[in-house]
Amino acid sequence: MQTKKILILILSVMSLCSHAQSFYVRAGLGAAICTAPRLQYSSTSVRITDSTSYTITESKRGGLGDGIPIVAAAGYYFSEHFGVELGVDYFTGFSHKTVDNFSFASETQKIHGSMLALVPGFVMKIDLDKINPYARIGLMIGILNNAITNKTFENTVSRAKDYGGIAVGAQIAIGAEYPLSDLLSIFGEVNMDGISWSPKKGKLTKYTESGRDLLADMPVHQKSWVYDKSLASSQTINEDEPEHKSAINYSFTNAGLIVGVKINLGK
Amino acid sequence: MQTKRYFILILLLISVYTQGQSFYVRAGLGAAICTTPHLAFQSTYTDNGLSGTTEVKKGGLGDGLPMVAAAGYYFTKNFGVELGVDYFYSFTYKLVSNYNGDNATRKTHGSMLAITPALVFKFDLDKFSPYARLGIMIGVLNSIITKINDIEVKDSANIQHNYDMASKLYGGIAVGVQAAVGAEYALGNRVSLFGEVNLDGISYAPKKGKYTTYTLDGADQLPTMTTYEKSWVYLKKVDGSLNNSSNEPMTFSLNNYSFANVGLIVGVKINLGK
Repeated sequence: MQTKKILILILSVMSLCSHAQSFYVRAGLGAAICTAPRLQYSSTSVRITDSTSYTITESKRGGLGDGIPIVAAAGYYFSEHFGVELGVDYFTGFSHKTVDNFSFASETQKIHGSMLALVPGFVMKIDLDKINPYARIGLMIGILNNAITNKTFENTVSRAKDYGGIAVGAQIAIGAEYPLSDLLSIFGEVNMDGISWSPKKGKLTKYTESGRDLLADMPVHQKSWVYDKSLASSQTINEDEPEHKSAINYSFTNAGLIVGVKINLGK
Repeated sequence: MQTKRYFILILLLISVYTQGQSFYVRAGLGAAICTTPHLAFQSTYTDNGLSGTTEVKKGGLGDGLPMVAAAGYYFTKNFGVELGVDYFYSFTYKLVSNYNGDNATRKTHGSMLAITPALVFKFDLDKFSPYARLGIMIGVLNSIITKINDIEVKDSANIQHNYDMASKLYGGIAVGVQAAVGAEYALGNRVSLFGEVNLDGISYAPKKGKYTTYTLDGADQLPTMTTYEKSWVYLKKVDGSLNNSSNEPMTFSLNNYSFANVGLIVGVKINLGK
């Protein structure tokens, strides 16, 4: 009964704004750069004599926020100027590479990440002559996230995947639509994501030595791990359980330019 | 001659839009939470490090108080430009570590003064005027202050030393992006109140650092410390083969601190008219 009353109330409120009600869907893609990158380090160890050496360390821009955002969303304008939207944002990050050159070998590490986020948002717009500027503010909920690290050390090749856990952040976009017809518009927007992600667990998905797969025979403790907020230094190692590591955080915060197509579905 | 022509052209363009021209100033403050915290660690160890725990805590310098003062100009009814001065003072985060009775407390906070040129769009409803703003943040005066109190365990002579240190990281420019969505509520022709959600995407890599306080059992150590002992620089590339002299600062690899945040800011806007 209570639900019915709320539903009738919502419908009544919506009917007051019926003047400019309209549904739409939109899809777009773009490019983004990380605005809060982490730094990663490449190093080169230089041998002077058998017992002495020194290291040259170089800082490099890391973070997982450089990449390609892809978005699909459905929205509803409940008045001439205001609407709500539910977006599905997929972000695939570019790889960041670091190289550590030791005197006897070198290790190459490449890391990239991806995030699938739901973004319920609030939209406001104005209709000018041909261009319709708009702004959107939303809550980002990263539901499927991962970070992949590929490592090569001498003849060993490994791939690790961090995954699990939800990320919560904020998104603001400011852009403009250009109507091509009553039905179709193109849009361009500057999109800012403020979000980071702490994975819950990780695992090796590849581990080969001289081309030979060693993953299948590795104990659980060596090929999987969980991230804990609090970590005891003296752990009893159980080969059948994942290793425990201190929690980490990846930055997906970025600013990007997204262009796409919007289809106005009418009332 | 060329400059004059551009100037005349700009004036002509502006005159086309005279209908909604107006100047304004605004000032506000609020609270923000970090959207990209880095994680900081505190630990308690006994038995020479054989047993204990490490705890992960939220670091990052984006939790804090944003303050803003800005002047803007609407060149049409809907579009304007603005120059903001944003000051951000971050809350302190505290880490307490204990290693075999040696107890160290670290408190860190940061601040950033940024210039934010921005593009604004708004539309006027009855009493409310929703708006959105997109700008480039240029952090020109940034600093990170860490205060450390380290109380060592008593030595064999039953003496316990107490170190008090404060360091400041500074120098360098931070560049980022700012977006805000909000609404104004007109109290009269001249004065409005505004409220906005503000998203800053910015981080800062300091260029140098120094101790501003260094006392041992209350005695100031700074005057007798060498430049190498009390100051340092952050470099993109650190060459370990170079021997620093005591008259030069120590060298470290660059480090980056997140000031990225989302905040709620409220304030007052004064419309100055044409």
